[in-house]
Amino acid sequence: MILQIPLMLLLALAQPPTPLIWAADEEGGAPYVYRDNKLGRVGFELDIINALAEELKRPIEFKQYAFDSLIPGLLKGDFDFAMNGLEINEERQEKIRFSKPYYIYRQQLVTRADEKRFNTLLGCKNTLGAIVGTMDGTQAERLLNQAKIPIRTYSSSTEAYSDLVSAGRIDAVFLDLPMAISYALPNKRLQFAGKPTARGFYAIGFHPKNETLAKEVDAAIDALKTNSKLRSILVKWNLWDECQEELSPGFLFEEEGRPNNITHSILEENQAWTINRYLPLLLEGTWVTIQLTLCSFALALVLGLPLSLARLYGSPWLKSLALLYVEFFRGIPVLLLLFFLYFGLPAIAESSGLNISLALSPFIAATLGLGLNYAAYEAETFRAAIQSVPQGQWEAAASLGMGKSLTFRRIIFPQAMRIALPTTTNDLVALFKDTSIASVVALVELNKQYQILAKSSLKFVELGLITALLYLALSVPLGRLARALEKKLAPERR
Amino acid sequence: MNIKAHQICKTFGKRPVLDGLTLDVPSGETVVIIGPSGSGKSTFLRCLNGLQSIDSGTIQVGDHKLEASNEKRFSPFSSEIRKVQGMIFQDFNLFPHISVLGNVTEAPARVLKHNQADARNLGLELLKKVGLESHANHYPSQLSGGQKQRVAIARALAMKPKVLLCDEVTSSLDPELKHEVLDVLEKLKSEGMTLLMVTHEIGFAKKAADKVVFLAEGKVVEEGPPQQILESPENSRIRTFISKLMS
Repeated sequence: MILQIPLMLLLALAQPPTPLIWAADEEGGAPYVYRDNKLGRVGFELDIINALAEELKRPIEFKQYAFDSLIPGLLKGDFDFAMNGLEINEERQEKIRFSKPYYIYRQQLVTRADEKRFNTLLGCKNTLGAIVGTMDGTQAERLLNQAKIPIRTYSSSTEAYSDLVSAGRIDAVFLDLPMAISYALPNKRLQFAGKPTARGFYAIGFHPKNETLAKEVDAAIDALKTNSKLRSILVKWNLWDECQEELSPGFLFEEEGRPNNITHSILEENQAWTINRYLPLLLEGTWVTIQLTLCSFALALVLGLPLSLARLYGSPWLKSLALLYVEFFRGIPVLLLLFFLYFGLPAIAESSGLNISLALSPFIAATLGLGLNYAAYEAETFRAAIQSVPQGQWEAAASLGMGKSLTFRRIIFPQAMRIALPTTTNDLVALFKDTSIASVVALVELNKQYQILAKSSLKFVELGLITALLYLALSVPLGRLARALEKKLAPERR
Repeated sequence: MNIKAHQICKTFGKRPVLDGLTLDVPSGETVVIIGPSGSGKSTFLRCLNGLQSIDSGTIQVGDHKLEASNEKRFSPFSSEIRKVQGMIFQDFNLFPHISVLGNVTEAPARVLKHNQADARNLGLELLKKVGLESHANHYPSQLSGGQKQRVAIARALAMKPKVLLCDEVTSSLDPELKHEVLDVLEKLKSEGMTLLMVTHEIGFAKKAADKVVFLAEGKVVEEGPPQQILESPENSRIRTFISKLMS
């Protein structure tokens, strides 16, 4: 016993203190924490983290985590704290423990430099057809929803601003001032519309049970405020403004710093997330999912058949072209394809000086992406089915004097379709589930609607179950249909 | 309508299947081809129908000629010979997705452009001829083997052929079903149809054939009236072959 105490002391001295794990989303964009192509990982939050690590005398390690999932991840215990422009609001306060704020944010409306129709949110709301881009799960998104302004949500600020400037699919972006400063301010084709509004606080999020660490960090933040290190970081990043004067040590957001009235009224409304409120929204998403499934599958069938014919009966040149298509679209992830169609095409049109806009709407981009991808699978299904019609059928038709195309149309194709039907139906079920990928191109289908609602209400489990039920209600009957067809059309029964 | 095949040669890869085969089928006669398996009987019929190319030799059916052609460029769909020649297969090859009547009317309606009523009347008439008019609306899967083969005959007849090629048409049938198909063929013969059949039905050959041809290694070994070939052939191989068939 006597020996053990010095030994433990020795060990404690020899080992550096265990690092704290900090989670944020690098993809969220500048200036929080992001990848600079020269400097690597940078951001004003990273600077604050480094200053905090000095105060706490503990190393802090970065952990990449999707912004959407920061709070669930924190509650799960995947990391020690989350710091990524997390706005303090009452729903989050019920779940997690916030530190003292390190930045007072406001929202900034940004439009294209040549925008003449409006320069305020109200003006935007009164402009017919105007759509405002914002980010998932942000205070800005809530404000827009509350103001009933049509929105499109993105998972990063970069996507939102580039959709505004190059694709022109949206008419304005409403996001936190820091994002506007780092993206829109240097861009001559964008302008700030009106003054920043809707004040709120960024703070660090902790697990509610981790009060010890939260207190330590609170003290460290106060220290950074006292020694002006926080100020110099914000100045360095061009984020210092008169609002930040309120960030004096000991500042308590609970008492003085309530978010302003608009925000507050939204919060009250958001607390009542009942089934009556979210079910219609989920059904709306389901309807989009169904439309997307049907449209992209129709495209896959329409493209798949000529592809299979080219593979089977085309000239050598056509055959290899069809094979190239099949190999290419089967070989690349749909996700990549969707990103390319949605964000890549407008950029290509712009850089090649084309006058036409290649900015596809989310629905068209998703339909194209899924359709092009599934066409490759359907082409192979059709090819196999056509080849499995016995050779004797061709010969019998030929011996009756029927020509090649007549034989194909009347004798081979109808039989091939019967053979292909079960596989095709299975593919339809797979496609139905794959439509959830379309959420990356800002299409609010069922899965995306779930993400939005779950993030707003933080009812991940309850909403997740209902969403799963909605998916199952459609995919299970479809699957049964596929199996029934398979039985009915089995070769031995024909 | 007569068939004249002269010096037909056909190889599969390097293996000769038909080796200078010469055969005449006079108009209105029934010729039965027998021979061991691999002797080229089926290949010969398929070449006659233009389903397969020939390397050399000539085929003439009435006024229609088939020339030797390159196998790679060959298309089984281009042959004009189908206007006068029908073919019936061992495996029936009925179209499973259309009705019995549809199987019969498909080609006259689509190739000869008969109108719907004409095609239908023709189809029903032919089905009556093969004794299956009551099955017009059945599907092939609902028929027995003998019934299927009779539908296949009606289907071939719908194109008004002058010659019928029958490739082992009773080989996949149960013995008690063979006669219903053979009876139909005998009736066709009596109506003046030229028949060229590959078959192992010695009884049928004795009764109905005008000529029996024994084929081996792609050549005609011996041909003549059925009594001569089947009962007292000159070649000992034929005797052995027939005694095996009868046992």
